[in-house]
Amino acid sequence: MGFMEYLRLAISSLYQNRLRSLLTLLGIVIGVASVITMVSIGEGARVEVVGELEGLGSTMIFIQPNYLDQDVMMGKPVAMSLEDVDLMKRSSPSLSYVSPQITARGIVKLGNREKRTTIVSTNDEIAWMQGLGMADGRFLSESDIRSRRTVLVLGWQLANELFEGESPVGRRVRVNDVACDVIGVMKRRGQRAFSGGMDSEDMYAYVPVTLARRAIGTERVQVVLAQARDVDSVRTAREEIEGFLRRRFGRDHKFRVESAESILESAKVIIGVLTAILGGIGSISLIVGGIGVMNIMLVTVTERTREIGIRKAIGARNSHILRQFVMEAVVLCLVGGVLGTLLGALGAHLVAALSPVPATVSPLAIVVAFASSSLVGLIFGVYPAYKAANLDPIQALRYE
Amino acid sequence: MEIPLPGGNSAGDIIVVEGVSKVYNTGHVKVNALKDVNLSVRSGEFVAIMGPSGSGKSTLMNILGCLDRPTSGSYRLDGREVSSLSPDDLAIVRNKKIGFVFQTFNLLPRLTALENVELPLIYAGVGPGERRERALAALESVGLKDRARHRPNQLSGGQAQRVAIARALVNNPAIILADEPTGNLDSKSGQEIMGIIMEMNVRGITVVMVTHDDDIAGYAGRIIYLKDGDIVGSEMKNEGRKAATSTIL
Ligand SMILES: Nc1ncnc2c1ncn2[C@@H]1O[C@H](COP(=O)(O)OP(=O)(O)OP(=O)(O)O)[C@@H](O)[C@H]1O
Ligand SMILES: [Mg+2]
Repeated sequence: MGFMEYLRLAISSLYQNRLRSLLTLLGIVIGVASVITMVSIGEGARVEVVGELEGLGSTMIFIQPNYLDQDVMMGKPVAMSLEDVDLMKRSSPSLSYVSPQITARGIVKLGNREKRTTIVSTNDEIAWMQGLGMADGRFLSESDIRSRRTVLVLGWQLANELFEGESPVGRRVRVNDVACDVIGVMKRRGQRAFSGGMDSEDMYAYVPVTLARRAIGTERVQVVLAQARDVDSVRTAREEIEGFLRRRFGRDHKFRVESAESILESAKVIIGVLTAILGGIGSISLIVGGIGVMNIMLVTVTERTREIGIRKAIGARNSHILRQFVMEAVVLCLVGGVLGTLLGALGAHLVAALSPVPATVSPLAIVVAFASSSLVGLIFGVYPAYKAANLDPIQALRYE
Repeated sequence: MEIPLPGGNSAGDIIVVEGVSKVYNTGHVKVNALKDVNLSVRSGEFVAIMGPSGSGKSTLMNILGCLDRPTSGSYRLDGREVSSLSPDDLAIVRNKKIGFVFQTFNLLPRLTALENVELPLIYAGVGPGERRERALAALESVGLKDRARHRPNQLSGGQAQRVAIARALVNNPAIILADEPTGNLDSKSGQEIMGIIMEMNVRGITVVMVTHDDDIAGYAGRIIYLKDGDIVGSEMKNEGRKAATSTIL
């Protein structure tokens, strides 16, 4: 008895019990649809986050001179000075740009109008690294830094809120009581992802890093942003930086050096876990659907006990009966898989249309859905089919 | 008491049952449905089995038909010991050597007459084209070619039983086992069925049939009487069956 024979038999049996087959199918459809939708949401989130992180540039390196995790809370944090940053740059030939960041909340005042916001003390190189564009005037220059000029660059929104439409460039404002001349306004950057709880970059005020002590009251460098010459030298650059920090602050000192790749990697891991959890939630409904299939198959086998007896009497082997019933369950689940995939794709499109997550139906999700629905058919179909196959022919023939 | 047959184990015997017992264990009660039964049936013979209800007729038929295995004893079918075959091997024997005719027809209600007749060929691995041809031929031989597309519930009892006979015949079995084949039929349909069974027997197929009806039993060449799981008598009919006469004396 060939495959097509079993398939025909299964389809005609399922067709005989249309309503029942349809209802059982529904369980699988919903299960597969939820797996597809959930995995698509995870996939969409991955695409979004990876795109965002790749936008940072894969040659970027992020340095935290003090990495205070729980283990070293006891240890004394070291102070990385601006001189240290210069030394680091000189000892790391693989770096093209190095930019120290000393950031604090502070007040920017124009006349008696004042704004509390984030003051970033940095150097000119940040503009090169991040490709910051200007709406008006210019960014901090190397000579601003060297000469410790009391100058200031405003974020787009901060400029608007302080000056309310007037031109800020050339005007004088006070940054934490240090009088500074506005030399430029940044281009609008818009809300970036993952800036929750913090000021938007459009609200930042940038002052020369050499002004940090006066304007912010500290010269301790919290973060250094650096850029390797090219993608291939990122690894060497990181090694140079790590070497420098160990020489400078001691073997046991804890710091953190991350490149875009390493951040990307951990983000991918996190999102992978997230996707797995979402898929797992979807799978639960698929399993519930599978239990429905098993339940119906058990009923079917009981109802068709006499048929099984007759088939055996005229020469059906156990394996014939087994395959006949497994095929029914698998066909049920595969049809459910097709319909569920369509429904799931619809769900993913709805999520993409109605939420910021660009949920996309990946081929992988479809493969997974199909594999899992036929697996469900097999797993939950085998037991009832096994029961059917092992019925005693005489008992089965006598069954009323 | 069975009458011992001297030539019982000769090459002409298609069925040789020796010392077969069947014990049903239902909880604490043991039922000895068959007690040390000996029986030989020659190839081409027509044997009727009679006896009161519960005497073990169906039990014996099930063992002869390889639907069941004896608790003890030996059963050789066409020279091959089958009492200890695996369920799958028994299925193959049922498919190739045996055709069943049941009192309640036992057709699959969802299939047409033709599809019902095709079933044994499906399990024998016969391809669709040949299957259809042979099934139609079998239906024709029982006079029901024009009912091929009917479902069992669109057939009269006699017609349904003829479909069942066509199904029993379609794979060219050596033996037809019929357990009260006319039990659910009026006497006219019953006679029609017996006519067909006689025809099969004339063509050389061995027939073993259970019946409660003396007239129906009259078609057989030999009648065996069962009581409480024992063969208590055997009667040869002199007129008619050639195979039968050669067996007795
Ligand atoms: N599956 C079973 N379990 C327990 N006992 C059984 C089983 N099948 C048959 N028996 C018992 O075996 C004995 C013989 O039964 P069997 O069906 O062979 O009788 P029979 O001669 O065919 O009767 P009838 O003429 O009524 O069909 C009976 O006592 C019956 O109760
Ligand atoms: Mg009986």
